[in-house]
Amino acid sequence: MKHSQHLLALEAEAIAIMRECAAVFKNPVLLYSIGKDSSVLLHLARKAFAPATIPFPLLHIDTTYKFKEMLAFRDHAVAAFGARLIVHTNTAALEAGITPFTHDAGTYTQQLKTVPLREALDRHGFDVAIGGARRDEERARAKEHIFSLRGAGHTWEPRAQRPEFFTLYNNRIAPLHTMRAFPLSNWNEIDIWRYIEAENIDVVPLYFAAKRPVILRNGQWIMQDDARLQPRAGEHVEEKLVRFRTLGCYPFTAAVESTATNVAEIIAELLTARSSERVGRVIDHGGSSMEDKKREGYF
Amino acid sequence: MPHPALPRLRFMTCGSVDNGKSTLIGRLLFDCKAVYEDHLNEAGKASNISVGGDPEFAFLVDGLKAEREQGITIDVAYRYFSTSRRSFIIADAPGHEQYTRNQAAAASQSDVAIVVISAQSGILPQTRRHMHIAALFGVQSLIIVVNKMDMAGYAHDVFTKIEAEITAFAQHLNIGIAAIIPISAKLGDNLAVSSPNMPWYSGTTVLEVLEQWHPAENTAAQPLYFPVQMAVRDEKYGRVYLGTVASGTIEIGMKVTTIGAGKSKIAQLWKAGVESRHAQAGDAIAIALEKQIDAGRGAVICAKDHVLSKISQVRASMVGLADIALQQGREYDIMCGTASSSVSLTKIEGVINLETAQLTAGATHFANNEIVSAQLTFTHPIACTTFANNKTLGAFILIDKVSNITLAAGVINEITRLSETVPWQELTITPKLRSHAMGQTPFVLWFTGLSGAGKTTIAGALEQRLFALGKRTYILDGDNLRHGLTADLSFTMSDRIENMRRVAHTSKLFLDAGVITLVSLISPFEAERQNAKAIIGAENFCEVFVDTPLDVCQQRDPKNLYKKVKAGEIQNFTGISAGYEAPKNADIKLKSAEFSVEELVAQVVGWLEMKGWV
Repeated sequence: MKHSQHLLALEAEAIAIMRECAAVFKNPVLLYSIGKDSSVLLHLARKAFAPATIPFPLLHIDTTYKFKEMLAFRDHAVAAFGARLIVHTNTAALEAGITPFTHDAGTYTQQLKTVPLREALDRHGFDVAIGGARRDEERARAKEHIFSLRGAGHTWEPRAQRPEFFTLYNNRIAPLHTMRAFPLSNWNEIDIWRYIEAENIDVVPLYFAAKRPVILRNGQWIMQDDARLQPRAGEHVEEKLVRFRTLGCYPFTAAVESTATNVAEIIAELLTARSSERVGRVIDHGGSSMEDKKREGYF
Repeated sequence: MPHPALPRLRFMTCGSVDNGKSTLIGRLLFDCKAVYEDHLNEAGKASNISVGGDPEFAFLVDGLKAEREQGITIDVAYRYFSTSRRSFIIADAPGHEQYTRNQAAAASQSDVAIVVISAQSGILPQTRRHMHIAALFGVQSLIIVVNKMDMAGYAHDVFTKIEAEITAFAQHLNIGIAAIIPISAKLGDNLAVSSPNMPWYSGTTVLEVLEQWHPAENTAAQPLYFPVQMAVRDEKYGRVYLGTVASGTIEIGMKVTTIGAGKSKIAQLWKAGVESRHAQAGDAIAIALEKQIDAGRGAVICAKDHVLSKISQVRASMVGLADIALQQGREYDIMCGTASSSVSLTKIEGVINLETAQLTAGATHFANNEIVSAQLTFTHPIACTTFANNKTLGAFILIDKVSNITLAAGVINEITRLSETVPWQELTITPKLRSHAMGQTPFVLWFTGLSGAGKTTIAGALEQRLFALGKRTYILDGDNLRHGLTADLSFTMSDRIENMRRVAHTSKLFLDAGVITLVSLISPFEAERQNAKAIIGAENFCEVFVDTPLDVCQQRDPKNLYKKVKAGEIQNFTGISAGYEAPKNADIKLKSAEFSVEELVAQVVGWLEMKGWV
């Protein structure tokens, strides 16, 4: 399929940002979360450095509560790209008994996502982390910078962020400081899907509608991906034709009822969608705001 | 919905506070069905106001409110929407006067600016400021909207009066107007749909103008500028150069070069990672050359007959972005295109009054939100051009060498000196030969400290000692230099910076001549002492801090200067009415209140012996 000029501009911009990370920093890493945005990011990384190979490793923070299909997809995709993958888990928190069923979303996210991310970045001495966040995902992200500065200990200080003029990114950092970069900042959900369609990019099958076992909890469809999720009193497991608009940890990611079984149908569905993508993300709606999570080191 | 055919359009909104910028964006998003229901509910809940069942449109975009309260102001919020014809990015910056830099940042990301003027209040100073900023920072075209027409009875004459005034002002700024449209953002008149309320207006809606706008066609063939972002090594193709084409077209077989390098030919080309025959401005490409040339990050690859020169001095407009003031004469790091270098802010020609477009001369520093015209001189020339010629290679940011903070962003208006015009003459007798003939290793001892601290006394005694050891020496004394070399300079901050720069370069010449040089200069600023060290070379430079308490200096008062300061005869006096930044990491610290001159000289000689310099 022919690319629109809009997609070509987004593609060129994302490639330039990724090259900037490789050109200026000593030790970049690409944060790979297995979702559709990560699939696009990985695809762009390969294009950015072709004919040479991707010059940095991928990092996946595994909470152990990802969908099974995501992990299978991850290993397959990474092998196909010939990239080096680092997987990191906060085993101490798991041993301490933190689970999405016994703890609130805030504690869970902090312990199984934010803390291990900081640990992994420190352990390997990465000075720039490339992520797949987009500004249109959430209101708090509308003013997200393409490059943002993190102080020692991964603190994010809104006041210290640098204004971004033209395509000039001040990426000077002091020792112990790091940056994060978001090459997909200007993409929105439909751009991602149009690009996936145009470039024929593989994504986790959970994005496509299929009959899946789900439980209706707080008005949202939660998929029973394994036996760790059990119906509570008054709840029951039922088969529904559903798909996921975003993917995270399965107990915190709600499915939507859908009949879209391929990319073209997803695009058609999105064009008439009346609710935003992250409405299915339970962690966005309880406890601390995105702003607070970012201050603690969440991406 | 088909794929939008035109490229995405990036636009911003300008205008005075309360003229309805946020309402306009909110309404536009709403009318284009770009607002999701959960966001709409959120907006409804948080604003707690709804007019006749309509949400308060401004709230949909006012995410920055809390930040404004906290005084965080550097941010521009980006919004996205699309129609069947086109995708849009809105760069939304707060409009108050203290947010000039935010407006400038948004302008640098926009092709078009919608200028919102209230039909009730007409053109305000803020309107003119924003239009000026937009014109300076790269906006190509303006859409003027006269808002709140509903409040002005949809009167035609209100509109025509503003139309005439704004057209005249835009001509003054040398920026084009795409359309002037009477609207009501709140009620949606002429925004996304034509209004039945103003039959006298037969033009297009705001949305139609946005959907159809395209940049002025430049029919002349543009030269190829390909700034190299990085080079990677590939097993099959050798060195591969990565970057985004800034201008012109490039194709396999084309003969290329970069300033100061040999010629070569494009052997292989990849566009977004895919093998291609040719590419054009805006494409992210990779190229392999038939014959390797010396081109790393910052080099600009050009067609062999249109090589971009290296530039050593420019005239630029720039906006201050931080609380740290930029001082005339001081050195800053610069990023321009993909190149990094260092510049000195040679001359601030004036602060630009954004309302009148006049230049006010006389400033020697500027900060946050001020826009100036100034001359910049490159320490190491780079390949760049004017902003009018190329947006990528004509825009820059200035960075503080110590804190890494972005201090200013700007655009190059004029090239005032090419680096080739004043070549450095290579001489056959080298510094090494001269120092060898003199039988000594030359170095610079830089004495810094308050007036009356004892710099000249110690330097004088030390010179006698070195002279007795058979060394060739010279003292550059700040007071003595003020009779000639620096006689034109005052004691203002910018003149002190210039004073230190001249003395640093003079020391460097003495060093090249093979002479051991003792500098006795208050030199109150850390940045310029560091700059002196860079000019002279760290391996030949020793910073000597004559650390004498102010009260001791005042008691000594060898030149009766402190008494004159007290009597009000002298201004800008270091330690009293002007600052002294004590060295953080001096090589030698001399406590002149505690030791005799002989003991202090011995301390310096001991250090020199330890270093093997004498």
